[in-house]
Amino acid sequence: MKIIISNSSSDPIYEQIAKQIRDDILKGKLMGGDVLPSIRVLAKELGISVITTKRAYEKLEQEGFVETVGGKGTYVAEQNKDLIRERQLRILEEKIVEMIEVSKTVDITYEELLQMIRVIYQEVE
Amino acid sequence: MLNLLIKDISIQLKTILFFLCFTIGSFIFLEVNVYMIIPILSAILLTVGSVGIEEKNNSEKLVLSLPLKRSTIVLSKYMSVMIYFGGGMLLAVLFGSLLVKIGIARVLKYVSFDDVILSLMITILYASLYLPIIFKLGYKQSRLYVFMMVMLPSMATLIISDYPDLTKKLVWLSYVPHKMLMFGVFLFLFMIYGISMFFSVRFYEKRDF
Amino acid sequence: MTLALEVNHVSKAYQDFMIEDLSFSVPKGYIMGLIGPNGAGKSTTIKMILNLVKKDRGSIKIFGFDHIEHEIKVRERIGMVFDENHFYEDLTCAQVKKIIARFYKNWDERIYHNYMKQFQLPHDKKVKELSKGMKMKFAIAMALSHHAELIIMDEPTAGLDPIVRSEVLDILQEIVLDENKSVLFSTHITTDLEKIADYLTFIHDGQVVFSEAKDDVLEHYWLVKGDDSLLDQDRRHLFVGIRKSDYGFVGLTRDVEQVRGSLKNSVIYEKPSLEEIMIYTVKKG
Repeated sequence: MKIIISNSSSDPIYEQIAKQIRDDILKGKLMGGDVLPSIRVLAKELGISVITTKRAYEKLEQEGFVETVGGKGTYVAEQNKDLIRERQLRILEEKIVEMIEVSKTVDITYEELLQMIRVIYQEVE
Repeated sequence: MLNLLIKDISIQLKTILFFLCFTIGSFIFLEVNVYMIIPILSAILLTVGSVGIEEKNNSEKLVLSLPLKRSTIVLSKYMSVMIYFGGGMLLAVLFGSLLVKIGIARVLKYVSFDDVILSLMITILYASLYLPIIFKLGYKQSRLYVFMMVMLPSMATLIISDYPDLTKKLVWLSYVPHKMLMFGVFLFLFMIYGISMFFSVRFYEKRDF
Repeated sequence: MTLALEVNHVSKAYQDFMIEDLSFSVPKGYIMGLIGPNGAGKSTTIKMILNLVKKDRGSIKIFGFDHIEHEIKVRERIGMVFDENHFYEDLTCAQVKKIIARFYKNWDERIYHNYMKQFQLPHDKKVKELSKGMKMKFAIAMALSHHAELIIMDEPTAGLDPIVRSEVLDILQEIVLDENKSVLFSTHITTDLEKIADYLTFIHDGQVVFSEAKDDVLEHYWLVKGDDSLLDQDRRHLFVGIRKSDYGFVGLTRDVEQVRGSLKNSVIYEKPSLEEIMIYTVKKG
């Protein structure tokens, strides 16, 4: 797990942490049942306050990405179908962005791109 | 209490070593009653010195933040006066006997009962006066008073040591049996010591650091 | 939430300075930063907690016990680090340790040696031969070796170079890895606290300006920059402190919603640093 904190970012630090862990879960880098570092260890490693770290974990818990088992630590939640769907949607979005970027570099218009997608979508079973 | 005594001795090892040399030196070179001077000086200088070192190192704050009561710190100082006195006396008697026997002492005289009693009295009286000042004002502010007081009894001792049986010279006292007189005087002195201790505790407990 | 330290309505009057109705608390397991300009009353507050200075009024509780009534018990559980060296300069580290260790029931030789090793401190060097940073680390090693649960530090980073300072901050974070340990840490160098402090108590002129979670502090305060012709009497009241120059004003506010309602987008909104919060609060308007 990698977490990078930017001091110049306009996002609060707890938000930055939550986002990066959330992304890792959605991308499947972190799987259900994986143990997250304890709040205090993570705070020390990142050189930030315990409360900030706690807030990030609480946010992820509210969103259903992680579960805290009293006294044992924080785990990545076993994900439900919605969550997996959301993860896939994210990946899809990223690919679409990639696609659009390539299209733009070679001057393919939106209509042309849509046309291509329609054709290929029907071809693929 | 014991820990505080060990602390005071540990920080003054150099002074104690100096006293050892000073004792031997005074026996050989000075024409004074060393049996009285050394115990009194060691009681006074080591007690004052411990406070001085504490202040020089700024370590009073450190000591005061240890798990101790302030009264314990005060009482241990009163205790240490007695211990330094005893130590000084032991030192004087040991070296005195040795040097007199060898014959290189300036004054060929063994310790007498009066030496012990008189120097103890002076020490108690003196400590009763200067400790409350130190506990009230701190070492730096009370230095002048303490210095004056160091000089006073030292001179007094020199004078007294010329009259070895001073007590007998005081005519009216000669009607009282010697032992009873001693007992009375000591009772009085220890009362003063106690009162002094009481005030020291009160002063010290009120002080801000 | 269990409290490691509770300071309730404490007052102390000096001839020329006064601490008035001071209240704050340190929750167990967290780092509390005590900030404020020099002479604000930080050191006096810490001294009152340790009863080095007698408070006139109020109560101070440490782990729920009155700090004077249970003086000895409470001090066994406190590790104190002062701003300057208070150890006997002419003694070696080992000698100082020997003297101090006796006073604590829970002194742990193993922990002491670990810290000496971790901080690369020499046992046989005299205290006066240590560098400033080493003296500070030695003081920290001494304060942490009797299983203290509340570590109180008075300006531990003042006068240290940035490298040692960051080491000291690392140590603080290491302490609170154990959730039973708490740290109270006074400083006027706010960048030290910007990252690692969980809570902040800001003292100014002997009074508490705020005492709350650092994240909340940083969230609530905003810097507003704009043309000073926009500042009328009513608007001024929205700011904690204002600084004006020929080119405009910069104001610190805790009530950004009100300011937004009044000044809309005619001004710029920025997040202040702790230092800016401190400066504008002290300056007033």
